[in-house]
Amino acid sequence: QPDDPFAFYNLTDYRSVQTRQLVDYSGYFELGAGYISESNEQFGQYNGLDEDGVFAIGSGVWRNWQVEDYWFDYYSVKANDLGLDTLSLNFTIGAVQNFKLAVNWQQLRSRGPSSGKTPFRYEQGALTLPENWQAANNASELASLNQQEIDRRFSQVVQRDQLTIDFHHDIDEAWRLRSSVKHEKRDGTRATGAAFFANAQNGHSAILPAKLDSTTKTFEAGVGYYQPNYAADVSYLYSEFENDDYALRWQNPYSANLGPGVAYDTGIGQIATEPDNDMHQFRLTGFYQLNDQWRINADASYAVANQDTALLPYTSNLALPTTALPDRSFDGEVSTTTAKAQVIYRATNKLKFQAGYRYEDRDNDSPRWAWQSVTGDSWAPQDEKYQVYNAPHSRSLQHLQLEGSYRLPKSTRLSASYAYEEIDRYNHAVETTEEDIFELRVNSRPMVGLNVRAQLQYKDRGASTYQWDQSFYSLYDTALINEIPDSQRYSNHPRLSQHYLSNREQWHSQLHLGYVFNARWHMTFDGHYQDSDYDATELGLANEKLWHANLAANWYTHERLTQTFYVAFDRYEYELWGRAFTGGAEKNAFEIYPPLPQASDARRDWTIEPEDTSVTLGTSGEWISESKLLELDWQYQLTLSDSEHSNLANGGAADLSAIALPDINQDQHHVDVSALYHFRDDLSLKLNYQYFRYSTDDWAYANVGVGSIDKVLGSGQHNTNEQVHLVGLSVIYRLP
Amino acid sequence: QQSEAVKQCLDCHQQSAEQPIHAIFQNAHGNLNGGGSQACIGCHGESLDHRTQPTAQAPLVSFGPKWFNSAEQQSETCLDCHQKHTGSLWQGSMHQQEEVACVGCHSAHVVEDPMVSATTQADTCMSCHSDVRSANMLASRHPIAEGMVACSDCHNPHGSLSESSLTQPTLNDTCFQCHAEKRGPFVFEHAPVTEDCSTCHNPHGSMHDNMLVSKTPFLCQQCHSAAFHPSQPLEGSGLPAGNSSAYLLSKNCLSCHSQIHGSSHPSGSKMTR
Repeated sequence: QPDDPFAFYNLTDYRSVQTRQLVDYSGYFELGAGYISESNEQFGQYNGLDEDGVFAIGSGVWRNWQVEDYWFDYYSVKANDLGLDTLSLNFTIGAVQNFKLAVNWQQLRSRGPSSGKTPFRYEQGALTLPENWQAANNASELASLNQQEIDRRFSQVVQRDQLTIDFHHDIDEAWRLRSSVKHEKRDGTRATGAAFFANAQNGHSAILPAKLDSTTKTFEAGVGYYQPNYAADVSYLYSEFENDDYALRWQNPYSANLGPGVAYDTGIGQIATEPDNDMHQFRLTGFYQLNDQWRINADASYAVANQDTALLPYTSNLALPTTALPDRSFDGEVSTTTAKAQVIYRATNKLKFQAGYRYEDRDNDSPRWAWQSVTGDSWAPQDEKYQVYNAPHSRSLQHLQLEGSYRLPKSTRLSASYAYEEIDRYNHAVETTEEDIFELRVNSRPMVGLNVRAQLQYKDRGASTYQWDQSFYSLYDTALINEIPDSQRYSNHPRLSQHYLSNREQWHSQLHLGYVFNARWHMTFDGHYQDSDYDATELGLANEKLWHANLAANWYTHERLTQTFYVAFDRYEYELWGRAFTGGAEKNAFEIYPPLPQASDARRDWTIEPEDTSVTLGTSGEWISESKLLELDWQYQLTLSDSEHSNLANGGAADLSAIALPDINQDQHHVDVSALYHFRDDLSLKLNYQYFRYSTDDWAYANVGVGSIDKVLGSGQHNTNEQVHLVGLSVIYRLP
Repeated sequence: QQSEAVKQCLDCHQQSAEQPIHAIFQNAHGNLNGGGSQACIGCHGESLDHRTQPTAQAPLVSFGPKWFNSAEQQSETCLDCHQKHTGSLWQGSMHQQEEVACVGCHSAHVVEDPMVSATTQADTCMSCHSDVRSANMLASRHPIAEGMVACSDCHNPHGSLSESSLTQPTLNDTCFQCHAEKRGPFVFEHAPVTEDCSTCHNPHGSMHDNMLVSKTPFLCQQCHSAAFHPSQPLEGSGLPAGNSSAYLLSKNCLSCHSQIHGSSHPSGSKMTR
């Protein structure tokens, strides 16, 4: 019954259904419809399945190979998720050893929390409040006075529309030209905090629905030359970021008296959004094989990034007298230079040496200017001694590695390496860090079916003198510094070490075991453990520990049933030390206070030991009926995460609390089952069911309403708790 | 000789085999040397012994499942064509040193190699990199499972001299491919941002918002202990049932210091503008 779309298979064909489908057809299209039981945030975070109701299923592939009598050998057209807000289209055409052209269009949507509310409306480039807004001095009053105005949901959704064109052409056996163009438009809304303040104690903040509207253009071109014993590739990359909104302006919802022109309704705040920038990068990559023993790999690049966006005024508060800006725009420029080389020496078939060198330099040539300090749009001192300075950061890294490896019997290889890394920084609290890295590795197959890999690494990092007052000296004016007592010349506590600049001893061990029991059973174990001890740190991050263990099994029950299982355990924990020091009124950076006795009071020390633990479990499988007309595949993923912030203690000061925070639990279940029934070789019916369950009880959002926090007009965003069912039914028709 | 080879390969390895290997003729590999059995020889070698004793003798180059050449021998076959341009830094790469063969990840006998599709690539990568798979199953992650981001967007598994086999010269440059807005340079920079995004973010996934390596405000307090509020212990009494601390709840530090990646506002020295 060839005209009957639901006619049964021709079972006399000697080939399997899968082979026939792969070999006899030039593609397929899939059409159908699905239903999502409820709007969600986590399930539809990136896949476009975030809104409840019916959606269309539409995908397809059409390809042809061995196209004869044309200037191309193959082409393909692909479409994915045409019925959703996340979709992609791709067209590829090419000729073997000649050229390939790929045009790809993607619409990517990322869904954030949608439970937030806001009174702000986006009008004429600013977030404004409704006309009948009633201002107050704190968030609680604002929330109760303006319930109706606030009760407007805003969804945090960002969409990226990307067009990419990739092309390469092999001129001959040796030369290849390639180029790539990408245009991306980003559009959406995200939540951003913003504040007016006179000092930190008098901050009045609001969570704003900030609009995103930007474009990124990228162009890359390169030429490669290849010979069996040497090759070189030169490329140029240009990237340009353009932000359509150079500032975010918002109306102050508070009536707080922080100075003239600040309070509602005239008070307007302004944030500089990310400035436009562009980058030119030149890169050279290649290798040279001197002979069977010696080989050199190399990679070098030079890039310059610029931003010259017009500077915003110091404040949009017209009541504040401000001085002239240093210039119309900030002529920012950062150059990045990298040089990497690797020398491989194969002394014998068993003995191999390798040396690597890596140099990375970020040189920030941006100007260092004095800026008038306008604190939170409420205070603008005119005296030059109150100026602040920007501090462009530069950094230079050198990494040298030497490695030797030796082959033993039973497919065993021993490797040992030593590496030295030095980072020099400018405008940082630490000028130089040096690190010695030792590593041992064993790869072995001691018996048939068993594969073992083990690694042990030890790192020892030493830091030059910790200039704890560096950030203070680099930020403020000399005249002001001279007026401030020595004991007050710091921003951070003098005994705090920033962990990425600190002395550190780190052990890292890793083990992989793989065993093939028989043709049907295969199991692997992977584990690693890392212990970082910031041994000279008194305040700050004192140590970190990281565990990972994973057990996986593949089970081929028989040729028609396969199963995989895995279970993993991950934990990250660290110990953080701090010292609470206040000493009267909130500190104004520009006022001089007596020394703070609390800063040297060890009774004010506190510690917290966060632990993030997750257990993930997954299984997937496939079953094909004996007639091979019915296929089932299934997948289940479970993630249980727990974040603890317990063991808070203090040194005994009576005014410091030590109440443990509740655990945060995140549970996620995802079941995905599909059944595929082949009515004919070219016609199949697909049924898909998915169940997704996610819940979290993050204390940062639990029971936190719009007015819960004294001087933060929140969004009332609450924790995600969702249970989603999805059913999809589609027909797959294969193209001859 | 050619006709004999054609006869020997495809006479035994027919379309009726359980494994649908003939899909190779829908891609470039099945069309090597003019296609047919000559294509088989292109990768498996002449294999004269195997052709005369097909069940007792292995092909010259075999990729499994019955017979295996060493990873190096298998990869050499592929590199004959693929070392050109894309695999020129394979020798000395991390995967080469770990004796991963090309076929450990790639499939030639299919219409389209799953490794070239973003929707299927990660399954292969994560079958070994299980810690990345675990991280990618956490609440805050890149859209890798949805195929919008591929592992190879950031990493070059065929060899790179950058750290972690990244595609770009530096780690931050890799991030700026998609997050160009963070490139700056900003007037007021946040020092760790300028040198290493991974100081604060775990790009493979996290249970904390924005793929942060740990929860704010404690992440911030790892490096900031200024007088007054940054130095204070933030604990249970700051929850809504107690004293609703702005420094602990909602966006905490970022409720005011929202421009954490840098600010180009003349009054942005504290990352608030």
